Amino acid sequence: MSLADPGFHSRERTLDLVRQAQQQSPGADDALVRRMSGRVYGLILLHMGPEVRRRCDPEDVLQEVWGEALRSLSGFDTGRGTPFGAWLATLVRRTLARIADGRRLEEPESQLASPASSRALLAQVLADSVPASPSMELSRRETVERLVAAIGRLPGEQREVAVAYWLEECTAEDVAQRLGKTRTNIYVMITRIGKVLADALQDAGGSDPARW
Amino acid sequence: MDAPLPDQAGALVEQILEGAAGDVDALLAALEPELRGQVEEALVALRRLDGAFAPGGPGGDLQAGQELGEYRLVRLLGRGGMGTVWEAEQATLRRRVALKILDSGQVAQPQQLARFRREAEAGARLRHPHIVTVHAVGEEQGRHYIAQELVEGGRTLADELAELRQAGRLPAGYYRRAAERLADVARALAYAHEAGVVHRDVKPSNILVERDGRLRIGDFGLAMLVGDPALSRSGDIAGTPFYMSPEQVAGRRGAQGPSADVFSLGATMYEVLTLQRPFEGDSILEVLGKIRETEPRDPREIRERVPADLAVICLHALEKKPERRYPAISAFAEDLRRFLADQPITARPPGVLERAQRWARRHPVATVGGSIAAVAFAAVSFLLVQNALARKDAEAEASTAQNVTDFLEDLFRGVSPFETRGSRTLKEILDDGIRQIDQLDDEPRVQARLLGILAYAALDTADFARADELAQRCLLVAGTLGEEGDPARLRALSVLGQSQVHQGHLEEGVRFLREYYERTAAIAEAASPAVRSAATYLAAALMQLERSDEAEPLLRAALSPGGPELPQIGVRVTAQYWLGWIEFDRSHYVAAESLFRGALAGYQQLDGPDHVQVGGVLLALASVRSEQGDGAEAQSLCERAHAIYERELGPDDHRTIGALMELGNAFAVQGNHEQAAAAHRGAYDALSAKLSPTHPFALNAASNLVADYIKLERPADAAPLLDSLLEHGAEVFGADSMSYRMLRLKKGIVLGETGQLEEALRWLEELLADVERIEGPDHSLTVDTLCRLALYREETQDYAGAAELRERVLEIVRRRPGALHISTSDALRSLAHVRRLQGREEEAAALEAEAGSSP
Repeated sequence: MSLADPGFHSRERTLDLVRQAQQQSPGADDALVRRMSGRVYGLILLHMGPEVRRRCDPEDVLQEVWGEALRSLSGFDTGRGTPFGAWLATLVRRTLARIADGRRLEEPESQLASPASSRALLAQVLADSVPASPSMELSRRETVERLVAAIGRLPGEQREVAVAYWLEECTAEDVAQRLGKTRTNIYVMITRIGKVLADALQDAGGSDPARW
Repeated sequence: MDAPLPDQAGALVEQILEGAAGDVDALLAALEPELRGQVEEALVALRRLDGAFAPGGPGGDLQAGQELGEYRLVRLLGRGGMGTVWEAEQATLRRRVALKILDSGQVAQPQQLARFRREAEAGARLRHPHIVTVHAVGEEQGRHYIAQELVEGGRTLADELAELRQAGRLPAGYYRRAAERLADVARALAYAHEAGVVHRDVKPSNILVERDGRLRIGDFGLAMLVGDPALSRSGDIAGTPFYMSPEQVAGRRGAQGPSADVFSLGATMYEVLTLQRPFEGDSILEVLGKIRETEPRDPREIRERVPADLAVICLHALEKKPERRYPAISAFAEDLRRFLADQPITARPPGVLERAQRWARRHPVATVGGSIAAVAFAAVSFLLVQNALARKDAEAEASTAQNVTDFLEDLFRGVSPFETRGSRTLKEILDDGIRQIDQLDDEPRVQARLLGILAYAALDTADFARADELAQRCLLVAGTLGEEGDPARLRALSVLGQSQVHQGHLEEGVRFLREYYERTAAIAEAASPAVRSAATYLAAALMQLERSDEAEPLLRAALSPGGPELPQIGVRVTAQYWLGWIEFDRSHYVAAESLFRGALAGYQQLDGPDHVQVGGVLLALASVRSEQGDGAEAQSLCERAHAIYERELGPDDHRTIGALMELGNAFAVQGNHEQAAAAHRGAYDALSAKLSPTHPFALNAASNLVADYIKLERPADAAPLLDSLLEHGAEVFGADSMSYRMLRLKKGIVLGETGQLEEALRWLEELLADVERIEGPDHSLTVDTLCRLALYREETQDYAGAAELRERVLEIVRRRPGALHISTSDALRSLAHVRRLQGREEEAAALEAEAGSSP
């Protein structure tokens, strides 16, 4: 992949994985969780107030959101043009609202609604999806935490753009429609915000597991 | 005129990413160098970000089994800031190596590439049993790599420490073994330093553990070749924050020599000894602040079995100033060797007063022990700060300093500043001190100095009467000394000013603090801590008098980065807090938030997470988030502040009630009017009981509660409150104030909603006349009033009157599109509705069609 390759922010790649997962292609759900977990984790951190954070770990919420996502994946319509990340963002908000209401993470009714085997499958998928080592996992998590912190420091509209573009995987066109701006406006903002966020990543020196 | 460069870059990024650019390389090549640089930088940044959120993005396209020159990738070992690390097999030599591959060589920035090559160059020059060997460096298929010795097991010291933390206990002989292993690392670093290579990123995750437990240092990724100007030029922060030295944090050019490694190894040693990092924080900024400004706890406070000499060695390596640390890492290694050989080490623990000073910096001053330490600290720092005068009369000053120090040491003997509970209370100590000071009549210089210090201690424990008395006595004695008395006089003025402010005598406080500031500025450098501190005290008092114009330049000067000295943390957080309010009042919410967050971190660090002061900053932040429409965060901040106030001050304190009111506002911002009403009702009842139902605070709460009831469509609940508000509000808010006109509108609404339509119409007509006259015909309150009038005209079946009012609203909305609560399409639909009631169907249909295409 080079600079000339525009495909690195491609919602199509995600949607393709969703289609494959819906058709139960081997490994597709695993790849989908891998691809989107950083974004979902970021959305959780972003929307999780300190009160909820005191009561549960973001990683538990991540597991819960993925449980819900994989259970209801067949209901996601890949042809409607909704970004999969935006759909996940809705699940994140719903899950956090449920926790904020004081309900337990594990909803009895959803357990009943899903066959026991699918929970085992979920556990397996999540276990398979973690990176190669605990320090890689930590590294991934710290990177996302750092980025979410940087996003949180952005002024209102820039923050909205950053969340939509990077976390919800909306295209610049989607974001433009959402905010009532032109696509070029959004690209100019993305270019600026991208530099700020990449600097945040750079300033922290990356997170080296440094396994030699 | 051409668009600004970032806009041009953004438009080009759009073309490239949307696939509309054709030959991207050709497009880039044709650009001016500066613009091309910006576009390339943006594309690299966007790719990095995509990869950061999606593991398997950049660099993730490599797969096990893939060949890179003579290396075959076996398995991914890890991912770092610059690339991925693979276990690989080198075909020619049939050996396993660790292959570090830079992310997507084709898009690497020159700076990134240069750093990568420098790492290889630095590493390749080193051959040491405790340094990981670099075999080769190269480029294949556009990917840059370094092949290094593969350390079997692949565990790092960080992994080992994590396991120990989990196990919860340390094996027998742990500390001695730790000293042996750290001595190995120190010797390896000494060898590297002699070879001209500084590591600059020593930390547990860069130290690998062999199967036999030996440590080997790797990842010279940030290594600086001594004398290589390329790296010292930028002054960028490089390294991992938890283990960085203060000079690295400051980004001081040319100051990141071998002593930075001494500090980082000291930080690593600290974690090995205590299983805790010396500087922790919730954010990188907080950690960096602590590295620069706070002293780490003595390792033996965390684990009492840490050998005393190892604690001393470790803290000596962690000295803030490089010149106070080991002069070379070989000396660090040598002290570890001495410890292991049971010989005396060279590092010395700090003296009594120095320890008191450090203790005072680290602990909040609310406890008796803290105050005692603060007194000792004040004695030391005060003498140091006044060195301008000391230079004039060095001998006399030295004698005074010695006498003051001796006196304080005697006074506090038996009351350890290192314990929070002494055998005597501070009051007893102060009484004792005052008695002794009385006997120093023949030494007025020492007497004045001590009176100032004890006055400060009294102020610190909120004993304002005693503080005032001591400070006044101090001024009297200092007055007999002429210019010599200035240091004591300054201390007394500062105490008197702060004491008056605390007691609510703001004008009097400003008078003392202004004199304190002006006298300090006359004898000390503008950027000195003394002047910054005096400016901040004065500004804080001015802000409480709402004289922000005078306060702002003082606050900005206190926070100014210029000059040889940076503001002390206490000064900084106070200045940040007040400057935050200035920005808030100007609706500069981003700037205000940033300042409040800085103040919050500072106060938490200074006073602890549950201090009343922290509650105040949380509420300030909540106000900002509310204004920015983030009711959820505002709510959470208010809840935290309310909990702190309730616990520390009790439920009836006005601050606790104020936090409850803010909490109600945060609920209202989120549209949760039920909970908003509950909170506002609680605040109103508490204020009515504590003050009176007509007190301005209570009326404010009532006004908020009325707004909640209206939103909840409970006009009957709102009515009695509203009557009380209208009766007393003219006096409190001003009959001509906007707040009072808002109350009148609410009254009109309540009348209408309780079915008193004629009365509502009369009331609103009167209000409309006033609003149009005072606010103008296009004001949002005019529009709100017109809309309500139109609604009640409809309900009294005066459709013609309603239509006329709706037309006026539409005209205003068209003149000010987007500036009012009501949109053009809503205004059109409302008019269409009336037209339909009038039976004018065609007009209604046309208006609705227009509404469909309007914003």
